[in-house]
Amino acid sequence: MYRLALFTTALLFGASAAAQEVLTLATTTSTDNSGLLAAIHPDFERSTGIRVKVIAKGTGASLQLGRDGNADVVLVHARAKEDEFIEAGFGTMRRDVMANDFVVVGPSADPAGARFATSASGALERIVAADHLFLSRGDGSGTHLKEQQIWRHAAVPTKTDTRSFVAGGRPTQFTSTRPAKGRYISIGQGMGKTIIMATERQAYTLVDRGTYYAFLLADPPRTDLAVVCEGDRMLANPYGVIAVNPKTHPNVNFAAAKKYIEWITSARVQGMIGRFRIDGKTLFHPAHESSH
Amino acid sequence: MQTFKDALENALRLVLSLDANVVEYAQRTLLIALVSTLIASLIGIPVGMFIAERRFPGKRAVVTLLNTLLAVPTVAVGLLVYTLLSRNGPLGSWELLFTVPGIIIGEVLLIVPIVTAFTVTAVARTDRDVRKTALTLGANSRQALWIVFRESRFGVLAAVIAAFGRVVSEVGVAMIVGGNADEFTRTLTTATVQNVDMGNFALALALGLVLLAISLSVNVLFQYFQGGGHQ
Amino acid sequence: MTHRFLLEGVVRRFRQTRSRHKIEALRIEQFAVRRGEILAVVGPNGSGKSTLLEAMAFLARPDEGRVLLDGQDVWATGRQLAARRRCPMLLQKTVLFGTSVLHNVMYGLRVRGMARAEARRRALKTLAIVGMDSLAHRASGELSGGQRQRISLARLLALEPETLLLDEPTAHVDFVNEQLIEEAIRDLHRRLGTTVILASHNLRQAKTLADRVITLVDGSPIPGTMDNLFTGSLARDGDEVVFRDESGPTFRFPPEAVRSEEDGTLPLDKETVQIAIDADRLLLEAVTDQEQAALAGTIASVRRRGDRCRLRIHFATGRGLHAEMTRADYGRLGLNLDTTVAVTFGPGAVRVFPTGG
Repeated sequence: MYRLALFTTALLFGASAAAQEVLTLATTTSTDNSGLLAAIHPDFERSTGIRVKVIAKGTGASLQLGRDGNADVVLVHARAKEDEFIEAGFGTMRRDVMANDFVVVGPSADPAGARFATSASGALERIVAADHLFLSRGDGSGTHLKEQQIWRHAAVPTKTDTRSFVAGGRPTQFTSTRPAKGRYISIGQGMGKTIIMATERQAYTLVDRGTYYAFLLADPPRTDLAVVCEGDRMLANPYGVIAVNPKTHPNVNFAAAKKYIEWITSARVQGMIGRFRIDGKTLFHPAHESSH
Repeated sequence: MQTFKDALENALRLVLSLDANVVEYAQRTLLIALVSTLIASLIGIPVGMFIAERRFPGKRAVVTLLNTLLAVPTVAVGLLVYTLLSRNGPLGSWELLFTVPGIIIGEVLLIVPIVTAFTVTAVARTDRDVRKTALTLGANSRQALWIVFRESRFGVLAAVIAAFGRVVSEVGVAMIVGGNADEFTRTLTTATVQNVDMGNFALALALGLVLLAISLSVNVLFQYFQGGGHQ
Repeated sequence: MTHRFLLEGVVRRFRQTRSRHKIEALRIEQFAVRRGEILAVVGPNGSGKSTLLEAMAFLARPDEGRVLLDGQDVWATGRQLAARRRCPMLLQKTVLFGTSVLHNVMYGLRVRGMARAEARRRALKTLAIVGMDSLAHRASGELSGGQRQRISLARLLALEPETLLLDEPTAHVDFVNEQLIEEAIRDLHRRLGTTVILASHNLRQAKTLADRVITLVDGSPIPGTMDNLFTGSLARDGDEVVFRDESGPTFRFPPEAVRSEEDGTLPLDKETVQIAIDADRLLLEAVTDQEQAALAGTIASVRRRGDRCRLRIHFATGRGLHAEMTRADYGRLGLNLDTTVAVTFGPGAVRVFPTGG
């Protein structure tokens, strides 16, 4: 009977002991879907006794969770948005954590010839020119922001969609840039779903290398798309960790957030991130590798 | 790429080997369903009996409203509860967003109309003559109410089972309010959605099979009790 | 104080379906039931028989007036639960609870707080009386219509009530069950002196069981007895109004004999109407030759009560009519058993009720 009660409590509150401290981390689907967090979080729990509750959304949604005080710490990849977030007083203690890079993937036969482009924007130009299908996450995530940045550099006419809505009691605008011509579908889904759809439709898309590898190297593989463009400096994808500002949201678990930031930027954990591999492939490059 | 046959085979293996993840999500799902159904029944059955038994102005409007609430999308309830439980929402200080109790609140809101409306139907179907008969045999009003409840017990039980099935199978509230946090709030349905998103079809299918098994059992029970307890 | 029930100024109104309008279902100026009598209430469908019985079963408070039980104004003194327990009623619609036969019969005893073992013993005894003890442990859902009716009666008999209200106790049962049920009612009355009030449209039953018959029309008792009830259709033939039904005699009424209860116009050529021929307003004349009269029959039975007597007139067609008159008139007209009489209908003798009300 006692064991049953304990078990019920554990299920109800999601902790092995009911009173265990919990840190809510809002992060991107790319970090969660790659399996990195599942690999390193047990170490945090062991060394601090704090359990991490991971809410995986796009960068935009994750920052919104921080803005609303529904998360204690955020781990995202969109530098401009991160700075905005901190300047508006929602975040504090930003640190670089790691970087990976984006790749443009597409059908292995590469019907658009994107492989022969010398830059990311060049690759997208070829896809538009070939009138081949391109899938966009379209969810305001870091990947989506990066994709729009590339479109703006590409020599193709773009147009801007603007949607207005109210967030946190303020009217907010969500604008997105997309090519004015060509076959382009904005699906409003996470990274994983986007790869799956691109694979099903044999479309091109922009994906972070970590998630792409996780799908390509899974057994059995979950995608047969090939990398058609990589290495452009514009494709760099730095991740930052930010504590939600306790001055704005006094309820957040700032002490735990601080511990988490110190832990994830520590030399030991940075080493773990660098050693995290899928089938021998490194997915993330720790930010503090050389400095420590 | 995985063929459907492979996925199904792997899924069956996961289910039959009682994969730790599958078991954990199933346990959590059942617990959420049990607790929220219990709470919703404690609210919905008495309210339903009251509505069925009493005459009051606006009764028809209340019944219409209940029947409308049966069709409310789960995501709408999820969104409502999210806004309430969000830290800057009215109930933010309870700190229940992304927790199982938070999900239970949402599920209770979702299924209280189901329990209530089905109870109203079940009781109204038996009520008038049973109640009158009990009174002619000397029952006081409390005893008459009890026999009306007893006579409609199969219908009421069907209401409870329908509500339970709804909780097990819905994804809107569990995903939006629960956030699908691993080891905390991941349920059979949210895990299924996530694994489909991640292309992990074997696990998604395994979870789907468990869901299907639960829904099927629930449905068989529902049919049985709808039919008055005998086939 | 010999009255079991005394109803004074009792009015009951019902809201019509889908309407704010209320209709009056019962209006009783004054009405008494003697202790220990068997009273039959007859009348056309919708005349308020059930409503009257429900008023005496204390199921609902009348909108106006008072119902006295053994001289006590029940609703005014707030004793309706106690009164209801003293006046159990058999409803027109038979509802058995979804338990065993035995538990159904025990129900009334158990809600009165009787111990389980004692209630069980009493229930089994009662089941034996209605010849159903072998079915005690059956589920109520497995019974036939006649058995169900006997069980619902047994539920009341087990209470050994001092008053019993029966609404159409044999409406939907076969002849054998009807006999069994009537015998059980007689037995109860004999053993316990129970006051029985019986609503019935079965006139044979009312006559054979009851000491007294009253007729309700439009929610009120009407003077005299009006128990010649027929259901059929009306048509006009010249001046005369012709009544036909499926099996019985065709009656031809002179226009002054017929009055409509509604608004004065006759519901002619309607599918079904109900007519009641007032036994007090039949005009009888002894005749030697049946051929002389438009309607003639023979006197099949005579019952004398007080200064009045009640005749049964049989027609060659198989049906019959009741007639009532003073014993003085009976003698003056030279009537006797087996006398052939010509029957004519006096002014206002025939009342017409559209059915379904």
